[in-house]
Amino acid sequence: MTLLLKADRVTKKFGGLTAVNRVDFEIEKGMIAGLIGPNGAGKTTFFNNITGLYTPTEGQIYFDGQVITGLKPHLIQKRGISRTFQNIRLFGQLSALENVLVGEHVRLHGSILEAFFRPPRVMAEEKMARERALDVLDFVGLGRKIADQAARNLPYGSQRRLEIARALASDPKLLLLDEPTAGMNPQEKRELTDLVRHVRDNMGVTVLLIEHDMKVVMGISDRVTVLDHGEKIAEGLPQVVQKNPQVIEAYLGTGAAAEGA
Amino acid sequence: MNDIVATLGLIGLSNGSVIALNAIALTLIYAAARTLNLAHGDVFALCSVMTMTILRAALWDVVATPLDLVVWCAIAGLATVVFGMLLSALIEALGFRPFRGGSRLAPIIATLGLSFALYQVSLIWAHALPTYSTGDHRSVPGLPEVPIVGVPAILPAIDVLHALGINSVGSFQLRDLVLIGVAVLVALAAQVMLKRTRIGRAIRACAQDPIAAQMVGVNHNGTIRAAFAIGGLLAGIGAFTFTVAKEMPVGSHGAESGLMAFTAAILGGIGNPIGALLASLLLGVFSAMTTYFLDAHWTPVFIYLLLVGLLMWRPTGLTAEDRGGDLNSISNEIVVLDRRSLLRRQPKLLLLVLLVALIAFPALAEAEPYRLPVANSFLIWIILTLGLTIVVGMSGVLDIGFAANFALGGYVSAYLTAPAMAWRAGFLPGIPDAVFVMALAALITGVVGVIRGLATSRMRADYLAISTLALGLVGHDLIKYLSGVGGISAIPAPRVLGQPIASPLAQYAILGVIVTVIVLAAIRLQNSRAGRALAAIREDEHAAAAFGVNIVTYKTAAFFIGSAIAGLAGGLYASVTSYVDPELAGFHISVMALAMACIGGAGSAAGAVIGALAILLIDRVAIPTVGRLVENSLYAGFSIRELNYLVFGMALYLSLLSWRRQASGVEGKADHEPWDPDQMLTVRWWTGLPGRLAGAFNHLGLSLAHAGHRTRAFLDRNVFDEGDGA
Repeated sequence: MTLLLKADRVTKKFGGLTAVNRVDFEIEKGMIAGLIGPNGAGKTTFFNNITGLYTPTEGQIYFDGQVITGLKPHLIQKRGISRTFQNIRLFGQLSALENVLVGEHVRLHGSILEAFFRPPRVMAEEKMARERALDVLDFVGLGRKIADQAARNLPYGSQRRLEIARALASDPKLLLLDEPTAGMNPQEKRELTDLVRHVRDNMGVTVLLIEHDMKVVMGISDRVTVLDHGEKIAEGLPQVVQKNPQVIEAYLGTGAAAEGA
Repeated sequence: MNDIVATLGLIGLSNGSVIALNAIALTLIYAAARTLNLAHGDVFALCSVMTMTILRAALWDVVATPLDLVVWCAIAGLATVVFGMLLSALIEALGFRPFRGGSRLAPIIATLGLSFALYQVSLIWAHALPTYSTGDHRSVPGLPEVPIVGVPAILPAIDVLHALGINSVGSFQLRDLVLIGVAVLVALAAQVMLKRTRIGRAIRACAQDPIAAQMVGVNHNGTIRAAFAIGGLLAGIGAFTFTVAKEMPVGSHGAESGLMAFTAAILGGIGNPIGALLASLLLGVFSAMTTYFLDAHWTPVFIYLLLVGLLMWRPTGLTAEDRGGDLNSISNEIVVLDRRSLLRRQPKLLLLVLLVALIAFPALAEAEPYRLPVANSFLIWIILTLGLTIVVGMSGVLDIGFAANFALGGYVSAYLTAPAMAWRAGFLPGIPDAVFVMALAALITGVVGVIRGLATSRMRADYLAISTLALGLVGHDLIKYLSGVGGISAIPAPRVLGQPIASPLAQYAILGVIVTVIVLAAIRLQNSRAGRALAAIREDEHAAAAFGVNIVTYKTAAFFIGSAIAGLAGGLYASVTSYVDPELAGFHISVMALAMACIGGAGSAAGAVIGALAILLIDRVAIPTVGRLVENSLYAGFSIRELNYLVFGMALYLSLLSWRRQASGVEGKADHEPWDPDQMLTVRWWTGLPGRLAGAFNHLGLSLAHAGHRTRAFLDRNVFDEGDGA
């Protein structure tokens, strides 16, 4: 297996607060990796460092063998990293289809001038883009019927799926999911877990997900990394990590760890 | 020299006190409501007219005893203060409460509309007061009347410096001392109120974190209402003092004087009355110095640029009290953006109807030739509105100073073609071709628009609105002082390939083609990769960036295209009407364009056309027609045409009110605002223009929407309020 993403001692400080502290991290192609940790452990900050919303204070991030540290978000997206957001951030007033089409943005080429003059090449590209977007809606299980509905009017679960569809539309190599099952009931969680597996198996996309629900993350991940107070405290197979006393302590407090041991 | 500086300093302190009387109230209101009240200056101005009305009625041309003076001053003061409190509470109810929990921008635009309406009311009110007293002329027996100007003198004219035995070239009157004294007292009182009283603590708590404040039992709505009432009280005190001391009412338009006061409030730190006072005094002295050593004209330019600089430098506020610097809060908040309603429903039918009307109009108008020039000005307005629509609807940057672009285009055209511009002769023989002139007008305006846009585009929404407002005023002032108040006249009709296009019909045809092309281009843009990228930026800038949209490129393009279209409109205006003056950059043009863009649904090309037509028909056809009918039956000297400001102001306000659902939906999550009751009621019966107009009129009780609104208000009061006090 080849290395897809590598974080080398990534540190992010906000003033005096160190949100992420010297985290080393690797993902191999084709794997589903889980990133867990209690609230405030620095998981989303770590995500934001990878996607370029933040620039790491120290350390390097390599993607597909190249340094991406400090690149602008749209350039990192172009390299093949796509994401969803913890609190859904769809383009609410745009239709579901348009949301997916924005996801395809980096794959398309029509410029503003071409929007006015509509050369045949751009028209053909637009037509293909729409077809593909509809296919992606099908793929994530939303179907084509909701294509013209405004994103903000979709039910919660569908909005989560639409976020994944939008992220997939850019044909990423790596998909970052930030708490994809937050606020879902067990049934919906199972369906979403299946979707994530489906994405990896049928589209060949490597997945890194932040997740709170232990059951979800342990069931789906090939490898789990645990952050606490910005530091990596454990890493490995889900079953092993689950039994790590430090992890239990981080989640449940010292007393629980002692009891468990 | 020292004498001059000292005198200027004293005058500056006096002028600064006037700013402070506004700024202290503004800073309190801003702290509680967390956004700017642009109508506060007009509350101040109306209070001042109130004082004048009472004092004139009681004391004009009357030999009053000191007791009379004291009693009447007390009555006038009390009435003014009560009036100010009621008016300020009314502003809160109309301009803030309906938008609570939504965008911080909405109240700014709403109060901008209300400000125009109130400005008009104060003009009408002042106009309605008797201008001549009855009886004999005082010094020329036989002449029947004495003109009434200003307010009767109450404070004795004592030169303080002179009385103290200091020799000085300037004068420092007792009235100046009174102004400074009252400003200091008001600042101290406000400070004590904020720090030592229950309501003061509640205001500060709401400024810090409205949700947490509610959790510990602070009534958010009640606190905001109280802050407005206190602001109104301070406006009453300030306006009374100003009117008595200066012996005249406040004359300026409140949104402009409010901007000056807001500069002071920001400089002093939001929610800090003493800071506001000191900053105001500083601004006052600074203004006095620049006025004396440079030129009075440059003072507002400096102040407004200072304001924009402050907002750029500290886009999340100068004090810790106003937090929100985290990543999430820098989202695009925009007011009106329901772009699909018109275009998605029946764009083709609607556009076809418009196109047929455009082509058929000259035939219909043939009988009355004066109609074509009017139609030409309509078309120019439509072009301007389309430009604004592109900036607002596509980049999400709401520009309240857009008229500066219009004027710039007009002046470029004037400088290139007017005979008075002798400098041109050296390198541009003859009158340049109109295509070249218009292209240059569009290009220059577009570039300036990009600079303006990029300078402000990183700001949070409310600061952005204030900055564009300030930059618009800067544009107006710059044009006025660089090119002259009188404007440029005798601009020749456009020439293409040596042929002058002077006939209204030919001009109409060309303008019609330009409008059609712009509308088609805008629609094509909307349904393209670039259009989607712009829409995504407008909705959520960070999410858009995460999907590979280059924010800077697209925003720059939107600014350029929108501004260039406005510049083109200005250039066309200059050569079609043959005259430009600085008022093209005026505030009322910006607001009129904004109202046009809002009425039709910003972001929709067809909406821009409809909105522009609706406002123009009211302004140019309905009002003059009604005016002719009633003008003579009303009292003499009053023209109903003067209702313009009232119409724009209310149109802007009402269209905003009808959009608040969309307005509040976009970013409630981003800014830690309290949850939005509006979102709970997903009644969507006003998508589409007819429904939207119904929404706009619902406060006038003209439609079924009225019932819906009352239901909502009832729910607000009885259901949702409970959360506040819990």
